[in-house]
Amino acid sequence: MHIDARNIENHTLIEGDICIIGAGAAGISIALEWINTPYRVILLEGGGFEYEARMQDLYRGKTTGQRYYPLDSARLHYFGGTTGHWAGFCSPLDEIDFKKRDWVPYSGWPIQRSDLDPFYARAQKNLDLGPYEYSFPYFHDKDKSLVPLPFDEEAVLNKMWQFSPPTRFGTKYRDAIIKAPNVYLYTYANVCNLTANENASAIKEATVKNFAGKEHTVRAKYFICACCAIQNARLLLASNQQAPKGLGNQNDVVGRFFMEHLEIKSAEIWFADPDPMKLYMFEFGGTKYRAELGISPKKQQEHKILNGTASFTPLEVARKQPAFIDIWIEDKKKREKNMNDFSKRENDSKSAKGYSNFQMFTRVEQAPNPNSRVTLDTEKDELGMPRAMLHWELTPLEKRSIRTIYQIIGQQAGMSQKGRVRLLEYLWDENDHSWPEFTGGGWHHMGTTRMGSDPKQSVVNADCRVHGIANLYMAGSSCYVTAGAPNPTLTLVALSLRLSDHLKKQVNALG
Amino acid sequence: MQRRVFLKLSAFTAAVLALPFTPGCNPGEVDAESQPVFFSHLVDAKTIAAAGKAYLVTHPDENNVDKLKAILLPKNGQPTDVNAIGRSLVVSIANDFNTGGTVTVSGWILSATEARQCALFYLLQP
Repeated sequence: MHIDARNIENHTLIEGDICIIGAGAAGISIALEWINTPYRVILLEGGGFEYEARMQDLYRGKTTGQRYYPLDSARLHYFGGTTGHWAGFCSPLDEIDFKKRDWVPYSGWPIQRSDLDPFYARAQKNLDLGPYEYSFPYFHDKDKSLVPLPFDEEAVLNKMWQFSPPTRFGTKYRDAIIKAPNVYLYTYANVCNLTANENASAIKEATVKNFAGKEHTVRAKYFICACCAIQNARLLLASNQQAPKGLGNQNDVVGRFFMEHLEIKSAEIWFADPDPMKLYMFEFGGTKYRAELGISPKKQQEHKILNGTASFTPLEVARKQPAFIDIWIEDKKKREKNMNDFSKRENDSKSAKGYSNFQMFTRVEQAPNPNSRVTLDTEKDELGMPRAMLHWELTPLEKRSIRTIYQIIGQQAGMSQKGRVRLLEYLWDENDHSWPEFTGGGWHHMGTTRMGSDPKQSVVNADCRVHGIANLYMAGSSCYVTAGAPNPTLTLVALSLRLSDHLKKQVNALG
Repeated sequence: MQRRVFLKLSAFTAAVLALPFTPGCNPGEVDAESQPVFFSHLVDAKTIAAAGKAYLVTHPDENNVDKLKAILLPKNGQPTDVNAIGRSLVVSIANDFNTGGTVTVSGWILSATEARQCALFYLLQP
């Protein structure tokens, strides 16, 4: 059922069993799980079904520290959320990503990869992917023309990605949600505050507002914030009537540990012979799977580095393309032109024989860092909610890890007589911890309500429930403890399905 | 060993790479030791010289032709024939990569042997 919150009587009281705040990949995935159950599900979406600049402006915010994209360009504020413009890259986190690694501060999830495996398998379906299979031999059996680089897998492995069409949740699941008799989707229902009981141990209600000047109240047994990593933290921090530092923030952890994937050109590989590199190439809308080069867990441990992968772009193409961080800029007209130019250059030069030189592009996890954080600005948005501020801060470990990744790949290229690797200049000096202007992220926001068993270092427990608050849960990548190398969507959907199963048990237990 | 030799593409080096050298790296009248065979197929002479110069900046104690040659081809069992020299160096390069004996010069991740060859190439430039 769909209700436009602008068109109902002001101060309406909306009641349900569970209230999901945010209708993106996480929120919709949870809502779908509850269709045709005996429970009344309230799904709140701040926007409507289409992009609206005024709505998007609610996501605007300042950034400090490492140069970052405009915040309002990083997430979409309408039904379907950021799946409205994602590229569909999917791969699960590795086992090592969940482990406590003594060389990665604040690492170690309270769950393991095996805990998520059944949910990854289910998430594959939500995202229109193939079977839950990410081993290179599986894909090589399907297509023998996928030839791997002749590297020692004990050092450098082929980490596989599957590509979603990409599934636009707003389009694909709109009808299913609207037709569901027990799911009540409210659009134009921006949650601006969560009200807790007196000692902030449970949430009583949520306050929603919209540009029509309406304000409604939502009451439910359970509340799930599925608004994205920055907005989840923002909502907890802004809900400070009963907890002056913000809900769940008694230990000053909410908003901290903001993580991105560093996505940055890092090296070149020069081959003796042209190579089509079919296994490693990607064409938007066409490629179903491909590999990136990953570093084996053994080598990560030996070199004490973060997890990251390398992808390839023909050098002649890559050298003409600006960095992502220079494409997505404030000026919208220039941004559009940049995006068109970027695609054109990618399509301009294609060679069947392959190329002898490739640029290698890194996607590497950011080490969890409490100083990299989301806070509230004094400036408020049009609905009166304090805007988010992001301070993105990197550490020397990220740079050393990138350098080492290519030293390992370079050694393999030499051992195999395949070619030679050249680091880009910003990586030459081991004592230089600065970052070049073209350093960017993958628009992947993670870690702001991190999972853990210790409330002093985490916001939610292994079930994604906020420490100390009986009925408040966080869904999505805000719960990540570490980021791994893969794009976050598959994992955040898997985590959401896991949360949904947990909530069903909770609700059933209540009777 | 200051003699100049004409390094020809031998059957051995041809087996290593059946590709033409990049411009400026055509094997001519050079010391065999100063010819990083594989790397020469990828980049031009200017790049090899730049890598060699960079290597010497970080290894100033090796900034000497005789010293570099002595390191590259120790006297004991030193081959005399050009092809044998080439073979020996190619084996050294493979060993370097297999044992982690790599260095980074001008960003290039090279075997220590071929980095020294680049350095020698730089020093022997007319």
